[in-house]
Amino acid sequence: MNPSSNEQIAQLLLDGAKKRGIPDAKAQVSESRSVSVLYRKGRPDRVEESSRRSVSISLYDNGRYSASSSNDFREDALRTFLDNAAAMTRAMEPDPFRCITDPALYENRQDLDLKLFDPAVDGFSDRQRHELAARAEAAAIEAAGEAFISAEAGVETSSSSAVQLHSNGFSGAVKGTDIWVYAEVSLKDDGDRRPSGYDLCGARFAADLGSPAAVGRGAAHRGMLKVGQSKVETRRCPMIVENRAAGRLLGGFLGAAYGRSLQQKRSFLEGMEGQKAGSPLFSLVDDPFIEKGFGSTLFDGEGISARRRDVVEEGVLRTFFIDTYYGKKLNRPPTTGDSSNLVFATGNRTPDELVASLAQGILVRGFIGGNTNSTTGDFSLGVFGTLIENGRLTRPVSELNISGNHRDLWHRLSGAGNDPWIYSTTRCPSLLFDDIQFSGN
Amino acid sequence: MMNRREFMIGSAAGMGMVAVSSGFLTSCAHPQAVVQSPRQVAGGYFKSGFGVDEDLIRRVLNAAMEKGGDFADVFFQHRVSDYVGFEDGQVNRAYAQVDLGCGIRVLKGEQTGFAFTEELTEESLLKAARTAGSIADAPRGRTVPEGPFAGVEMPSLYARRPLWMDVTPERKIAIARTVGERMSALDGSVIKASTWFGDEDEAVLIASTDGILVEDIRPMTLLYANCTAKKGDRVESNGYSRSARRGNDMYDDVLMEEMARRAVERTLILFDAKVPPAGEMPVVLAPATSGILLHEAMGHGFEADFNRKGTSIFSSMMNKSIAEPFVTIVDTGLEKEARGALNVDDEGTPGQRTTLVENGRLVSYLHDRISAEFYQVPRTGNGRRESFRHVPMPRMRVTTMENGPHDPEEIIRSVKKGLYAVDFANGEVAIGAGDYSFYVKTGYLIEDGRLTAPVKDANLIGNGPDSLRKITMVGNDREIDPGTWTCGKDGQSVPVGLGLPTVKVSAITVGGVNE
Repeated sequence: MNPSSNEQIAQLLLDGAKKRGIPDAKAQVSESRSVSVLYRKGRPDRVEESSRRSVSISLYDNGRYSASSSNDFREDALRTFLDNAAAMTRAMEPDPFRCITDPALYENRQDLDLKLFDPAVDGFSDRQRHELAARAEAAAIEAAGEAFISAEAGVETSSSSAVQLHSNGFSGAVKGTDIWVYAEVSLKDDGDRRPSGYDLCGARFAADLGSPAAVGRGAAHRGMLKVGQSKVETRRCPMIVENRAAGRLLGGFLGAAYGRSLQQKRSFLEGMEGQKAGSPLFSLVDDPFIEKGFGSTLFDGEGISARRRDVVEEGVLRTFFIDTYYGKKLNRPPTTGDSSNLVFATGNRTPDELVASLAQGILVRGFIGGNTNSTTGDFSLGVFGTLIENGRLTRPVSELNISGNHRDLWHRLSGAGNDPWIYSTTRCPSLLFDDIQFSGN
Repeated sequence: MMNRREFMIGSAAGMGMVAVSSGFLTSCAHPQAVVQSPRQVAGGYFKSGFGVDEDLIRRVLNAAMEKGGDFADVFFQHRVSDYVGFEDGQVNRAYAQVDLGCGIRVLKGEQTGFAFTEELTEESLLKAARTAGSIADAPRGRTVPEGPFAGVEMPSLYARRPLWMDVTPERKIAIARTVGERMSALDGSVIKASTWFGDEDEAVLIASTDGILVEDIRPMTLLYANCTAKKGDRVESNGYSRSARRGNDMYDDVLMEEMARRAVERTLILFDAKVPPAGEMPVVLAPATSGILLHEAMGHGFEADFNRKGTSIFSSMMNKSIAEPFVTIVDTGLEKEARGALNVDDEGTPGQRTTLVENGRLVSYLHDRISAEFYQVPRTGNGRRESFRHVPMPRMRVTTMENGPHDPEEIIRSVKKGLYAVDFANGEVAIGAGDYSFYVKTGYLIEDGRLTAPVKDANLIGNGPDSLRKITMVGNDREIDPGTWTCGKDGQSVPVGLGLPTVKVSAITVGGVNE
């Protein structure tokens, strides 16, 4: 066999599936390489190098279905892999809703350069990684000053590629790079508490990477914001969720927007399409075409040509994430089963202006645990942050919970910042909600 | 690497954790193994299956030490996992994954160099060894002692052979189907029943420049039963799961019936349950699943890497009294066939039981090799890793509290107004500040010493050392939870277990809603 390219291997897997009598198949070969260095006490604490390569196949035999993956590329191993996959597929019960993606959905793929691969990141040297990590760590230690206990700063560069072929005509290849710098700082506090702050930045292209020193200082600063944390009384009051934390709150809402949740009756959003799900400030777009975006892509996981979609438009729920399988089960056309870049509409005000607008409230800087019941929409989440009194941030608070229901929460959205968090596939600004239940003392 | 959270996902999170996306890119994967005959493997799995012999291992370790490391080890792993899913009355999907490779680590003081290869050829192994070795920068370090490697004496807590390779797909399908169909049959209000069955045969080989070589084979299985019921306009969902290092024999009729029944009961009770009131109150934790309190509030804070770096709130508490004298907390790998059981950890340290808090006093952290070396104490068998692609870290196994002096009924009677927490879904902790939380899926209000209205969906939040001090009663009814708990730390997931007797914490903040 000894095929030289990943595309050849993918084709061989498709051929192998056909030889085994499987009518439809998808094959993918993916590869990635990443190198990371973590600094502590001014020297490398951990250096890790990773090269991975794997094959995946999905087999469709008249409603019978299985998906398999392996990283064992030995010729006899790949043969056994296919034999086992075919046998497993045949053992399944035929499901009339299970079939390969409709090839019509492969059409109209955009011809765009999304700028996801940077040779400069791919070719980053050890020396460059060490320099960035050392700078971030040094800045963190300096910014922590007297309160310093411990700091770590890391840099990771990775590049990945994948080739995907389907027996009914789909062919796609993706290639991307990213680079991340992060730092974590532990600080002294009263008693035994040792609050820590964390910060990061990242980019697809090396030239777009933020300052490592700013990441180090940011981590120290965010640690300082937790020094002297205390609880407050149980109350209902306005809440601002900081941009970097807002994605986790939004995730609780979106968990109910997937085809599987809807079809399995585990969605509080069932029947809500076209209905008001929140205030007019609640607008969310799934945008796969953002240049250099972490979630950008020209086609989704099952080959459907990507397109930009309103998920929520001025409070009205517009789109569910529905793949081919659950689309058939729900008797509706598939959209996509995968979100790409989720972009929340920004407002005009800075986060400081949002704070200044409140007589009293709590700025939530992060979540600790908690969960959302996607069937009913009930949520209960641990939070920490800063108390707002008379338009000013006054003291750090922790050991609090917020509780409510997602059917209701997004109607309370009354403000959005102009500060989208760009280091995630979910780009949220700071969000202001009215009248939220906080549990404390 | 961006995931620096310490958190845990458990039973009720069910399908959330193993949710199968439609996306091809994320599909898990695969049935029978590539090594064709599991019977030939006893006492030399990697030698007979992959040609990895002692001479090759010696050459690899010596290559890793070329730049003068203090220590090197290799971790070979072959893991074959299968899953089948039951949904809408059918077992209609299968996923399988074969994972093979070797991680090579070189230590220089507290510094770590790490690389791995997925190809077990000599060329690839030597290349990875030299990459890992480049953390050091000195003349050649010590070489592996001549002569055969020494074995490691260890317990036998589960079958040390692949248990699932020979089990037919038909049997797995029958397990998934039986539990699924029984949920639907148990109550007319059940509108959706799904199950997710998984099994795994994992073989590992650990060898190091200390001259030791050990192999372990670690079977595992899990089953999630998920249920959705409808009464009038209301819809509720819940689930139940089991996991153990066992084979096919685990799934007898009694267990399958019990799983279906519990999943349905746990769903139906939600129709009568309300979100509890908000605020601080006494909380009585029911036995078993409540062990998540130990995992989040204390366990992570006891992991020695955080203490070595001074970043845990427990860093300054060793040998101090941190709880009432009837509080004894242990972390053990010796729980027979438990999901968190380990004959040997991923650094070659034999499985063992570690007392962390003894009669209220903090007596030990959880150690891996680096931290044990740092503190100059024996390793505790907590060096674990998600796979050969990851470096080992101190991780929990099965974390429990020993029985205390109190009668569980007396504990409930002692509370005038509070919460009785029964089932939990997940939790998380901030190591340095000590704040932790865990999510109560179901429970009851306690009013005047009696359990009254059922409650649901409330997050509890507290501070680790504070909650430890507030453990004012400990029951004599300890149970180990048999659920599917998975712990995440620094981007690595490992299977764990937990347990607890009935415990009273005099005040925790309950994330409820005040009408």
